Amino acid sequence: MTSETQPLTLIKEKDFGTKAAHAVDNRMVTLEIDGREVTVPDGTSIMRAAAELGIMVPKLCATDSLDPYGSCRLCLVEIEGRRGTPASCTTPVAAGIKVTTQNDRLAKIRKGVMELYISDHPLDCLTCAANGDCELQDMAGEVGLREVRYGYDGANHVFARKNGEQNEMWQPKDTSNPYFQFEPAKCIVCSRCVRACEEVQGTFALTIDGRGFASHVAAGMDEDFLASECVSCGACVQACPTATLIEKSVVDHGQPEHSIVTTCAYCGVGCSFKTEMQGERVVRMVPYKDGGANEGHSCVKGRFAFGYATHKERILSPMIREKITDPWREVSWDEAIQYAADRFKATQAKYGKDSIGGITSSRTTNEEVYAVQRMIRAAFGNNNVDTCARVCHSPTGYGLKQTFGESAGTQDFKSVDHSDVILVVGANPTDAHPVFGSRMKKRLREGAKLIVVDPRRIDLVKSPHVTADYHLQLRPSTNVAVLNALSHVVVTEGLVDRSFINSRCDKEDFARWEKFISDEKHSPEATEALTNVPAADIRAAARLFATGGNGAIYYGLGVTEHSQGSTTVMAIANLAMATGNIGRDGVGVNPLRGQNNVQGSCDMGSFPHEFPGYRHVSDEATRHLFEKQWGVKLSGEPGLRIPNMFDSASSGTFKGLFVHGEDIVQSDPNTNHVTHAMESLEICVVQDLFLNETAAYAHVFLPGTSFLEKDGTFTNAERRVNRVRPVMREKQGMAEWEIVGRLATAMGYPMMYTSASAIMDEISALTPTFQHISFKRLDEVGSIQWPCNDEAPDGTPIMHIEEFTRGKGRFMLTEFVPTSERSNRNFPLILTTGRILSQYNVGAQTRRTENVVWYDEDILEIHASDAEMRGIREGMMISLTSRMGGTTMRAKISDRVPPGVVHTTFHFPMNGANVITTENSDWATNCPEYKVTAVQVTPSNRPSDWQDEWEVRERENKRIEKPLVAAE
Amino acid sequence: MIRMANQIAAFYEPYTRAEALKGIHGHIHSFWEPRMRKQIYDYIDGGAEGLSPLVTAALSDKK
Repeated sequence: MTSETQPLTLIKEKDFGTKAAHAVDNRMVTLEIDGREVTVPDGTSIMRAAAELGIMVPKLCATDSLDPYGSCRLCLVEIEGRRGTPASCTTPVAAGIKVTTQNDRLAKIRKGVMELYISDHPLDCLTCAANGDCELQDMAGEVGLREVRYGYDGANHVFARKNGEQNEMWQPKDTSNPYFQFEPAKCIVCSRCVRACEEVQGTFALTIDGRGFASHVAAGMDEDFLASECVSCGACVQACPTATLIEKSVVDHGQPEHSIVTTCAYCGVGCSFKTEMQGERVVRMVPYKDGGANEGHSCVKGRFAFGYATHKERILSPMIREKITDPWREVSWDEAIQYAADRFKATQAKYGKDSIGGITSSRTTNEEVYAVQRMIRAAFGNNNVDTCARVCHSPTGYGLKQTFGESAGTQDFKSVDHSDVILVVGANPTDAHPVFGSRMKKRLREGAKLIVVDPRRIDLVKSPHVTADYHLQLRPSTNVAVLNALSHVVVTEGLVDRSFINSRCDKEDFARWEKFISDEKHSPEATEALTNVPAADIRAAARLFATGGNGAIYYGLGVTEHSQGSTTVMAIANLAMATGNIGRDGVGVNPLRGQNNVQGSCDMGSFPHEFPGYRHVSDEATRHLFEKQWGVKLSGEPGLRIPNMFDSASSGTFKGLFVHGEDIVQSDPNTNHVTHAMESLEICVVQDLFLNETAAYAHVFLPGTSFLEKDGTFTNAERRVNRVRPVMREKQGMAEWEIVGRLATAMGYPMMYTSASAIMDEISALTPTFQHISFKRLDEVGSIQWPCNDEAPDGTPIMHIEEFTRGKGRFMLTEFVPTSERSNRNFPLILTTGRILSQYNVGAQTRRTENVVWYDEDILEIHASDAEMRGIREGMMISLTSRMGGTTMRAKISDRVPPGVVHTTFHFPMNGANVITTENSDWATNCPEYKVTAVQVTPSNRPSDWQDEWEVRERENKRIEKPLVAAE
Repeated sequence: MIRMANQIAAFYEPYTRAEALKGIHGHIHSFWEPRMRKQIYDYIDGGAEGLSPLVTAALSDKK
C-alpha cells in the first residue's frame, strides 16, 4: 500500500455537454453569455462555451462524449436579436452574440419539459439504484419541478398494468447481460445509449424502435441484450442519464463513495479507469475521460471483468512441496522464500551458475518486472531472463530496432484520427484491442480507406458502416511475399516518396533494397500462386496506400508469430519508409501489443541480451552503470531465451526456473515438449494469482497481487507510462516487488526496496529514455510517453519526427523464405490461432468472470466445404491433430476462414490448443510460429489422450493439503 | 539448432557474402547463449552436416 496524504474523493469529471471543437486555422470567437465575455474556438456550441465559464445550462440528451442531438429541449437559450429559443447544444457560437441562459420565459419552458418527462417516469427515487447519480433527478431539482399535473392514468411506460389490464407499452427489466440491466420503464428516450453504441463503440447494436410515444430503445431486433450483437463495452451504461442502463453491482451495493484512477490490466491499449469504491470494495470500474489511451471508452473486459481478483480460487498463502506429485503445503512467507532460495542455491551448486533462470511477466508493473530481472542478473548471477514478449512481439523489437533504431511503435493512438489509408496486417483490433478498434472504426466511418491483410475475415472487413476496400486474404505464412509484392508495386510504378528517402533514409541501403524489391519475382503476379491473393488486388491496394494521403500500418501477432516474423516487421518498416509514412500524425508503424505491460516488460530489461532501455549486455559502459548501482559483477554474455530454456532443461543443463505471472505451460507452443522440460526441473517457483497450468509443475508457489492491489506503472502499446494505483490492501499481505527482493536477499544478494516509487527512481536514473519519469511527475500530468528526457521533457507521442532514432532509416532486404511447416495428405489443413473479445489470453482472469456467458470453450472455425468433406456438422465434437499432438473441441461452420484454413483460440486449458502447435520459430528471436500448423480435423466422440492426462494432472498436481485438525 | 542457424543464413542470403558472414556471426554472438554457441561450434567441428555453408563460413573464427 502507499501512504497517500491526499484525502480520497469521488472523482466527477465535468461534462461540457458537447465535444471540444477543433477550429480551422485555430480561429477563435468571442461572445457574451449572461453578461460575461468568453472566447472559444470557432464551432464550439453555446452550451460548451457557457460551461467553459462555469454556467451549466440544464440538459438531458447532451453529453460531451457524443455529437449534439437537440432532442430534450431542456438546454434552450435566448440570443439577442434572434427569434425563438434555440437549443444551446446544437447552436454554434458566433462573434458578438449575446446569450441569455436563464430568465422567466426559459425557466417556464424548462419546467414544462421536465413535467412531461416525469409524467412518464416512476417516482421511486429513494429506492432507485441511480439515486445520487441521476441526471434526470438533478434536472428536476434544477428546474424546480414541484408537481406533475398530468397524473399517471393515461398512456405510460411506467406500470405493468393499466386499469386492471396489461399495459402494452410497459416492458419488463432485461437482466440478460451479466454486468448491467436495462429497465425500459425508466427510459426517457434521450437516445444517448443509441448514439454511444454508434459513435463511441461503433457496434450499432441499439436503435430507437417505434414512433412518437411508442418509441423505445431496442437492442438488436428488439431482443434481449445478451441475444443481440451488443459487445457489452459499457458505453451505453456510461451515457445513460437515468437508472435505465445501470451496472448490476451498483444495484446490489449502492453508489460508490470514493474513486481512484488506475490502469486496466488486460490488453496493450492500457485504458485508464476510475475504480469506484465503497471502502475496499470495488463497486464499478468507469472509463476515465482524461485517460490518454482511451479517453473515456472501455471494453467488456476492462470495464466489467475484474471479479477474478476476488475469485475463490485465488491463492493467498505461500505453499511448498518437495515433488510435483506431492500435495501443496501452506507455509509462512519466510519459510517459502527460504525454501525457494535454498533449492535455487543447491541447484546452482550442483549444476553451475547458469543452470537457473527466470521469466518476467507482462501483466505485472514495470517496477515488479525490473525487480525480477535485477534478481536474475544480480542474485542468480546470469542473464537467463526472458519474458512472454518472446512468444508475441519479440520480432517487433528486433525488426524496428534494425530499421528505425527503437524497439517500439511510432505513434500514439490518437494519431489514427488523422489517417487516410489504414493498413491492418495480422491484427484483429475489434476483438483483441477493442477500445483502439472503436477508435479506428470511427475514423473509417469518417471516410478513411482500409486494407486488411489477414487469412481470416475479421470483423473489420465487414461490419456496420465499415467495409475494407481491399481484403488481401492471403494463405497463412505468406506475409513477407504479400508485403514484398506491395512494395514491388510502389517501387516499380514510381510511387516512392523520393524526398522522404533523400532526406531521411540511408541512400545506399535504399538503392540496394530498390533493386532487390524491383525483381520480377516479388511482383504480385509472380507471387499470386503462392499467396492466393489476386495480383490486381495487391496492385490496387499498393496504389491506394502510396497515394491515398496519410498511410498508417497497424499489425499484430499475425505478423510476428511466424518463422519470418522479424522479416515481416522489417518489410512493414520498408513499406512505411518507401511511402514516406513516418514521423507525423496519421502515419507510422504501430504494433498492437498483446498484454497490458508487454511494452513495459521489454523496456525494463526482460530480454536475455538486453539491460533496461534495450542496451546489449556486452556493452561495457552500460554494464558498468548497472554494476555500480547494484554493487555486483554482471555477466556480459546473452542468456537463454524461453524456448532455449526448455531445450536446455530437456537436455539436462537447465534445472531451476522462476516464473512470474505467466502460464507458459498453457501459452507456449508444443505443450508436450514444454511439460517434458518442466518435469526435468529440480526447482520451479511460480508467482501468480492462481494455481495455473505451470503451477502443476512447481515446487514453490508465491501468491501474487491483482492490479487492484498494485502500486506502480504499466506501459502501453503507444509507449505511454500510466500509473497503477492500489485501491485495496494486498490480499496476500505483500507487494510483489518485495517478495522478489526477499527472495534475492535470501539467496545472499541483499535487495530491499522501500517502495515502488523508489524502484522507478532507480529505473529513470539508469535508463536514458525514462530520465524524467517519476511517480510524482506521473501523478501531476497523468501519463507520459517515453522517450522522456532532456530532449523531450514532456515525452514523445510521435517518434522519428526530424530523424530516426538510429539517424537514417535503414531498408532491409526481406527475402521470402517458406516455412518448413507444410500441409500434406495427412495434415491437409492449416491451423491458425487467435483471441476473442470476451476472453483474454490463457483465460486465467476472464474464465473466472461472468465473461464465460459469451464464450466458455475454445471452438474450431472450419469452412463449410472442409466440414462437409469430413462429415462435420455445427457443434460437433472434433479431433484436431498435428505432427505434435492431438486434442478435441467443438466445431463451428464458418465462412470467416477460407477453405483449407481452420482457426481456434487458446483460452481454455482443457482444450489444449497448444498441444497442436509446433516448435518452429522466428529466425531472429525464436518467437514461436503459432499461426501456422498443419493439421487434420475429424469427427470425434471422446477426449484425446492428452486431455485424459490433463484431467488427472488437474486433480493430482493441484491438491492442497488440509491442515490437520486436532481430534476432540 | 541447425534449423535456427540455417534460418538466420536464409535471411542474409540476399546480402553480399561479406555482409552475410558478418551478420550471421554478429547475430549468433549477440543472441545465442554461450552453451548454444558451443553446441554449434562443436557441431561444425563434427562435420557440420545439414548446416548452411554460410553459417559454417561465418563461424570459422572458432570462437
